[in-house]
Amino acid sequence: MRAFLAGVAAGFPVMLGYLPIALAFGISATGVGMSLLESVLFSALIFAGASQFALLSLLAAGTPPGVASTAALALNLRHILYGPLVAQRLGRAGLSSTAIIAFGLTDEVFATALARLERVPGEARTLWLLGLEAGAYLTWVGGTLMGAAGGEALLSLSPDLAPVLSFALPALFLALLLPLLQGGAVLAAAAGGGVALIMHLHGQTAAGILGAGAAGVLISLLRRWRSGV
Amino acid sequence: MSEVLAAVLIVAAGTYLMRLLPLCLSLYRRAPRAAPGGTLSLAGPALLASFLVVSLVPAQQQLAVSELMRRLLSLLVVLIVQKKWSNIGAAVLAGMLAYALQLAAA
Repeated sequence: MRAFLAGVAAGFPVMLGYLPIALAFGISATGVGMSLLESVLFSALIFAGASQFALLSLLAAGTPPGVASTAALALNLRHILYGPLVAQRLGRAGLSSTAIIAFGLTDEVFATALARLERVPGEARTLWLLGLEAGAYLTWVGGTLMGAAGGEALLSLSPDLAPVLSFALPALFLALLLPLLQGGAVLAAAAGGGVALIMHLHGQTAAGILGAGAAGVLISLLRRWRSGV
Repeated sequence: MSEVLAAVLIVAAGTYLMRLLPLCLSLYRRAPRAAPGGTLSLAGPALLASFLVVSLVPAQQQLAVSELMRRLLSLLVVLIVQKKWSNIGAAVLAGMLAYALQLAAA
């Protein structure tokens, strides 16, 4: 239980970052005519921000559901990269735990696990990761519910609240990246960031993230080849 | 079943499988699991850097110089706090505080 709560606590920055985005999603969903239940189902079942927004906007624009689903799924292809990296740090996990862990592997959960899981004692890692995911998931679904039920009123309390909460995500990613920046990781981070930025500015964010992962793999391979491993 | 619910279920199932299958393959089969220092070792930092730039720079709108400076200064605070205390939560909160103070002063 202690490991689970430690995971929840480790996910606090993720929760801070999720709240405004989930609120915005709830507001957008009801804004385009989704019911409260439909809005919450998006977040409760998919749990992937970018593809939720994409699916919502495509459906609202009258795109056939099959095409909208395919486009939203294409945005999530990057998630294929996360499993092997988390598995490397996770050690042993039961089948039911693995099934739950997989559901919660969002970008932010993956990033936090990548940077912090190795510092958690081996036998506690599964519970720690489940705690991290539980906090993130409840914030995401709860934020969507609040947004759908009246988030505009909440955000109007202060115009600075949403941008300040949103800044939690870049702050989190930098704080997670810094301890990893040693040796070849500096070059990999520069290459990954560069590839992602160029693609992002050309409207290809998801492909850019995949490209960043590919750049990291390529640099790993080049370093192994040069060192003769 | 409504078309909206069908689309949500398709994306939910597809996303889940994209997360589940590589994790299961890596956990329960010996060969593909990424080893420390192996092929995937530098994919992590590259992915984190990509998350950072994507969350920092808006894709669809021009970022004003003043806003860019505000974000970069706040990230500098994150860097300093993380380097000094190695505490991710404190670094994130300090960065958010720096950003909030700059917004309030603007």
